Order: sequence, then structure tokens, then C-alpha cells
Amino acid sequence: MTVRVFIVDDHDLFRSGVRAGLGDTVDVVGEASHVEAAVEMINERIPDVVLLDVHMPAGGGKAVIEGVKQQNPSVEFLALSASDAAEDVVAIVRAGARGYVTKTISAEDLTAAIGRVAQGHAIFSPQLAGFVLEAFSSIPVSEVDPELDQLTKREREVLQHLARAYTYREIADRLFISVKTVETHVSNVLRKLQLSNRYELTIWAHHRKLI
Amino acid sequence: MQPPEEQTSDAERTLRRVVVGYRVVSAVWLVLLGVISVAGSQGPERPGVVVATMFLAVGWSLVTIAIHVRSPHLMRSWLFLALDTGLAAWVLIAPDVSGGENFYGGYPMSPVFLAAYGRGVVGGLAVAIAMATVQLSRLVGPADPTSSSAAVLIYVFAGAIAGWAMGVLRDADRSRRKAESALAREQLVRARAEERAEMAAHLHDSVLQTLALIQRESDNHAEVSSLARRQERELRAWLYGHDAGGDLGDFGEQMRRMCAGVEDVHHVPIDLVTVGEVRGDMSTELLVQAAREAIINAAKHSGADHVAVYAEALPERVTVFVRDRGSGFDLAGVPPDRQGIRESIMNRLERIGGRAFVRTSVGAGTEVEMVVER
Repeated sequence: MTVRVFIVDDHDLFRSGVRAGLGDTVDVVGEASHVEAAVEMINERIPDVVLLDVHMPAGGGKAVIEGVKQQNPSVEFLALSASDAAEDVVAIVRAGARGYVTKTISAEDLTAAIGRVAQGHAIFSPQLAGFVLEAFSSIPVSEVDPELDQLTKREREVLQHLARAYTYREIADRLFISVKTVETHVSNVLRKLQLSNRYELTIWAHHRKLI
Repeated sequence: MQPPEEQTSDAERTLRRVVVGYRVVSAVWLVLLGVISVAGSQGPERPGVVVATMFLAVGWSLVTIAIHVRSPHLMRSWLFLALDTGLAAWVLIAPDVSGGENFYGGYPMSPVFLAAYGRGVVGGLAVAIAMATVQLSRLVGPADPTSSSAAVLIYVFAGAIAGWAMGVLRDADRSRRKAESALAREQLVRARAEERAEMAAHLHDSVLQTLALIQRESDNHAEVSSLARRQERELRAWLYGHDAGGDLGDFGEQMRRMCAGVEDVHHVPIDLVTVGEVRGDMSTELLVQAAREAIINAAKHSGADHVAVYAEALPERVTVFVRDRGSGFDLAGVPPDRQGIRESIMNRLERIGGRAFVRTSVGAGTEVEMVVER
């Protein structure tokens, strides 16, 4: 079954570029260039995955996620951005995106990422892994799992390998665990990132914005 | 903590110089009168008192000068003003004790000025009243009522006027400096805006040139992508301020700059991820150089279409991973040219107590890990 994809980006050129790049590997069910239209059309067509630009007028990608998730929690979001600003990326993942990739990603990798997101997996580009490591770095590592506020040693290891551009398969081989386990770790990290109200995370994001 | 105006304002220093100057002049004046009094035909009954007072006045004046130079904020303290006034009071009654003529000259007025300087009108008046009280108490002595009450008036006037005038001068100076700093700030803001506008103009120009080059070189894929990457870097640096300029910057900045340089020369995209912040120093600089060798090696020999670099700066250790998905090689049978590269990485790391590990196998790409403990 081909994945049904919706593209939200305020740059026409980029939308058509992505569309052309994806070809018929996925089923593009629509595209929108601004927040309001995007929310309306997504709620109407209910795609599997929304490719979402982080930076847009009127609330950006975050507003789209908020507008859709309430009515259709099954729709998954993959954030695409040209920005390297960590606070933007972490903010959109915290809003509910399943992952983040840069706009320079190859069509091939993008197709693979869409497939993973459609299955509910998280997509961590090396950049995102780096941002998350940094966001949690003020928080001490712990062997046990104190729900939400810290990364376990294993999660940190997995993230570090992601930042080193290892694939899930390679990480599994190196750490002597199954790919499934790697996926679980990554999903847990994503969940922590989304749910933690950890003071340090807020402070960190705030600090980054000031720079 | 000294009030900032004492450190910065010329006006403040000038005022202080005037009051301290008056103190010194009045002390000299006192010494001259004292010498005349002691040496005169009708000398005082107890010349020792006069001589001691002279030494006391001169010594205290030296102390005042020292305070003026070293720690001017003490001149505002009530303790200093009280000591100063006490000494001046002694000077005022010393002639009575010595049983001779007045020899204090202008000295008794100097604590009034110092107090007016240190504590404004309130200080000036307080000390003036204290000195006037001492003066009036001398009525039992040789002074006559008329001249004493005139002296009282002079003290009080002097205290009030000196305090008021210094206040006015200070206010004028303060508002002038405020206006100056506002102007300076405005100039700084304008200069920054201009600098940014200039940067933007330069960037737009360089984007246009890049676009022109891309059109001309459109069949040279490597060249086009390298042009695009370079332009992207420039824009990013401008947008997100990844541009430390001057000093060594932090370790991440050193890595960014190095990767940019290698990208430009070797036309292989380098994806850099940095985590953590440590200040750049000689040790991180050598680590960056070692990483550079590893990246260049990957760019030249691996055949990979890009190189992934992960740099992690923790307080206790800095690590760089250089990863390519190229041909890889057999670590056991390392060809001599690879050996050379490994040595050039190791040489740099050894100098800073670092280590390097290579993970590779034929067909699986290569990862070089470089670690420096801090």
C-alpha cells in the first residue's frame, strides 16, 4: 500500500521539487502553502504523513500540528526545514512531529523517512539527534529510567550513534541489540522530548532563542 | 564598590581636586602663620602646641591627598568627615590652648568644603554649624563677639553655597554624560544596522554571482553542489550568526570553520553536527587539525559522496567522529599511504594526550574516532 502524503510549505518551488522527487513512490494527496488551508485540507483528506515546513507565516508548522492533532491524532508529521536553529526544530518535535530532516535530504532518503513515519517510527536526522543530546545534556545521565526527565545511558548511546550518521541497522549491530530495540529507544526519546516539562528543557530553549 | 561617577567623571575629579587643593593651601598657610607666631617677639606661652598643630595639619593633609588619590570614595564617609572636622576644631582652639595669637588662617574653612563635596548641602551645613559652634565657644577666649558672629555667618554661607554649587555642577555634568552616552548608543546601533545592511548587500551580490556560476557550470555536478553549499553556509552564517570573527571562538566554531575550508577545497559535502560547548584553545585546535586530516582522507580516498562529522564537547572530554560510507579498507593490510595519514592524525593527537581509533572494513566505509580527555 502506498503511503498517502500531504505537503505543507510556503515555497512553491520547494513543494513542486519535493513532489517531483518523490515521484510515484508515495501518493501525494494534496499540498498547501499556508497554515489555515493546510489544517482544513488535512482534516478533510486525512493523509498518513504530512511533510511540514517548520517556518511559515501565521504560526508555522506548529500551528498546523495543533490544528490537526485534536481532530485526527492518527495523522503523522515529518518536519522539513532549511533552518538549523535548534529551538525551532525541538519546538516542532515537542509539538508532535515524528521527526525532523533538513531540506537538503535526498529524495531516496525522504521516501524512506516517510515510510518509517507512516509506521509510527521516529525519524532522527543526525542534526536532530545532536539537538536532543544538547537539550538533555544539562541533565545528568542515569542508569535507571526516571520517566521523562532524563535519557537513559542506552538512549544516549543510540542518539550519539544517530548523530554520527549510523543507520538503525548499524546501531543495532554495534550495540548488540535488535533493530526493533533501537526503534523503541528512539521512540522513547521522542516521547520524553514531547512530554517532559522539564525545567531545563524550557530554559535551554529559551537560552538558545536569546543567542 | 565605588559609585561609578567617581571613576568616570572628569568633573567629579576636578571638584575633588579643588577641595583637596584648598585643604593643602590652607595647611601651608597655617604653617606659615604658625612659624611667624612662634618666631615673633611676643611668642605663645606654649610654642609646643603650635608646632604640634602644624605637624598635625600637615600630616592630615597628606592623608587627605592619599585618600584623594587611592580611594576617593572614603571622602564621602561620615567617619572621614567627622575626623576631619574634629581636627579642624582643634586647630581652631589651638591658639587659645597655646596662649598666643590666631595662626589657623583659612584652615577651619577646609572641612566645610570637604563636607560640601562629600555630602552636599547637608554635609556642608552640618560641618559649618559644628565649626561655628566651636568658634562661638571661643567667646570665653580672646575673640570678640562681633568678629565671631561674622565668622559663624561665613561658615554657614560657605557650607550652603559650596554644597549647592557642587550639586549644580554635578547635575549638569551628569545630564551631559547621559546625553553623550545616549548619542554613543544610537551611533552604535546605527553602525550595526549599517554593517548588517552592507553584509546583506554583499550577500545578495554573492548569491547572484553564485547563481550565474551555477548556470554556467550546470553540467558539472560536483562544482554546482559545492557552489550551492558555500552559498548556503554564507547565508546561514548571516542568518543565525555563526560567525565569531576575531578570536579562536568555541570548539564548535573551530570545527565549522575547518569543515567549510575542506568543503571548499575538496568539493565533498561535509555534514557537521556539534554538541556541547567548550572554549577553543591550543588543545582543541590540534584536535580540529587531526579531524581535518581524517576528513580530507575520507574525501580523497573513500569515494563517498559526503562525509559525516560529529563533534561532542563535554566538560571532561572532547570527541570527534569522522564517518564516510565509502570503500573502506582492510585495517590489517593498511597500504603505506594510509599509514601516513594515520601518523599525521596520531602526531597531532599525541601532543595533546589524545587517542584515535579507526573502524573500517572493505565496503563498509570508515569511521575515525578522535578523543581528547580534558
